[in-house]
Amino acid sequence: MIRNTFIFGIGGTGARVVRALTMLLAAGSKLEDTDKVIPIIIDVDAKNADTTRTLKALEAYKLIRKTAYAAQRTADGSDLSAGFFNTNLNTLSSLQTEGAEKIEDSFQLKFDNLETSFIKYIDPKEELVNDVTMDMLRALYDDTPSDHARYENTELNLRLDEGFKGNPNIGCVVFNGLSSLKEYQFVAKSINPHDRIFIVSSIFGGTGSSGFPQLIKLIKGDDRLRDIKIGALTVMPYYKIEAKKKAGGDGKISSESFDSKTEAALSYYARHMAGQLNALYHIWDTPTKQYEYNAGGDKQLDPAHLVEMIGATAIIDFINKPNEALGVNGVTKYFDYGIIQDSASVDFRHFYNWSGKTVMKPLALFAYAMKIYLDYIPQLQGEVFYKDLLKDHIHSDLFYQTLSAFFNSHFKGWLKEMASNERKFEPLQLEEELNGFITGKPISIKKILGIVRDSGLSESFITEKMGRMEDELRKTIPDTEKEKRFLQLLNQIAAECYKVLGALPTMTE
Amino acid sequence: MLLTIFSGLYELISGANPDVPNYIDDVYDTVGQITLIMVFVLILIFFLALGRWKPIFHKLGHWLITLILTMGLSFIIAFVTAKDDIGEIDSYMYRFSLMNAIFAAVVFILLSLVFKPMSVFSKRTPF
Repeated sequence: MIRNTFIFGIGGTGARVVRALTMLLAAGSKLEDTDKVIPIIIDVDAKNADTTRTLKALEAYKLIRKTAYAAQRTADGSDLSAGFFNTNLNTLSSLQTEGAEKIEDSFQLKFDNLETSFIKYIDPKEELVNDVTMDMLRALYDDTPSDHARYENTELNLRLDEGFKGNPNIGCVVFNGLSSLKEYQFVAKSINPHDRIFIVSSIFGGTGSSGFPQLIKLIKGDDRLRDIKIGALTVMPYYKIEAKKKAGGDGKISSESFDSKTEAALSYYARHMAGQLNALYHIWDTPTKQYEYNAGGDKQLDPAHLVEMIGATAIIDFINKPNEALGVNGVTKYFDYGIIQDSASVDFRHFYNWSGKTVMKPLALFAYAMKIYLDYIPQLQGEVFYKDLLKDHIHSDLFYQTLSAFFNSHFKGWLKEMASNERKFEPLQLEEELNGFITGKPISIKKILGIVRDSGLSESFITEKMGRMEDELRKTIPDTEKEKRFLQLLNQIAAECYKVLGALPTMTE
Repeated sequence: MLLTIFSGLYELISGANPDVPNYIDDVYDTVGQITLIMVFVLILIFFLALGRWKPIFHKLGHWLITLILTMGLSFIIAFVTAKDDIGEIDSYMYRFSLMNAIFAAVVFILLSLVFKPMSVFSKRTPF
């Protein structure tokens, strides 16, 4: 049965995993029996650069797919097509939900009334009622004022629109108001019992660790969704944050508390959430990289990490699992992830077959397309395919501007960040020519008596193949759908490069 | 039929030369036919042989080289054919050869428009 999957990315880590998922789906990782995938980013830190970057990638994906993806559907409506951008990644508002108030066309679920301090949020009229007193609140929360030297400890005076700064005790109070949001009510009405839900959050921060249990509580409290299949990814510590406070920084977040927060949260999950989920994926890594301290906002732009990409594969795994494999409701299945060999630098060789086939091969194909689009096509302006498809459009059309940004800023940027992080994920040699592009498997140039017989993935190879492919594609895709033709051309030339490569490298090579 | 076409054409573009009847009797016909065949062969080589084989000789620059080659060969064909037939060089022979080169260029351009859609790599050559 065709279903939708709703993916909630909570907090900065949730957004970064959704960013990785966007890249994997752009690369063409196939999701079975799925109509739409609806990512919903939940982050109270309105200016968080990680979240903003993810939202931009999602918007770019959506536009590229809408303009250039040609779906091939069967009679029952399922999409047979494969290739880049084949998954219908869309916004909540794309769903036709009867009886729901219209919402903004956005991938983000926005909280209202957070432009204030925590104390004003819980007590807006400053008239504490019932048994709640200021003394009681002070016993529960730190109330260091904003002009105090130790302001970094404050909880009651924390501004909520800057995020929860690693305080899940504040986050769970705010997330209690989630059900009153117009967007959440739209979500609740849009989800059908046969759809699936996946929640991504970190366990060592503030937003994710508090939002995750609250969200589960809300979903399970809805009679209509009681039996819906739910999966979740809990990201445990995989990086550290600079212990030393930067000049001008507020120093509210410390990685020293990551382990204790993780332990506390895991104990809570074990006691209160066992059986609530169908699948729970755990991921972590030995933290070696020390990120620069940034307490959210537009400066929190942490580099992409292998853990986030592997986290995104958990979503693909969950969506592709048949209902039978998820077991009966009330019993949670737990999943971990391992690579073949522990290494400070990971590439295609380190993954087992499932990842190789489902994720790494599409990733290699998309990387070939990116390389050709960014580095080779600009040199081929005299070719027929360039004159026909790109010449009058590449610098002016929104589609090509978006595609260029997706390849250059989003995808290449993401790969570069992972390649420079620790542990390093460097499956591609981004600055090399195509023959040396795949780490661990260079394509050799074959010569006989000093004369080149086979130059591998040379510029002339690309030129000839793209010329022939465009000549064939123009017979089936009309000039009115040039973007579709171009995306198909990229798919085909990437497949041709992969054919020359043979297969991804393995440990034995 | 061809004889009539070529005579009329060459007399139209390079002027009549009633003093030397060899032109109207033999030269126009022979030169016209050889030139057409030669242009046709070059077009086939450029657009169908090379243009469908590999992207090695398919751009505007390559097309211009072929055009200049066509004009040069056409000039030589006209000049040599006329000289062989008449036995001596006269000033009309230069004008006729030059006009044959221009005629060949026009035919080459027209045939380019006809044959370029059949090519793979020269589909947008010359424009």
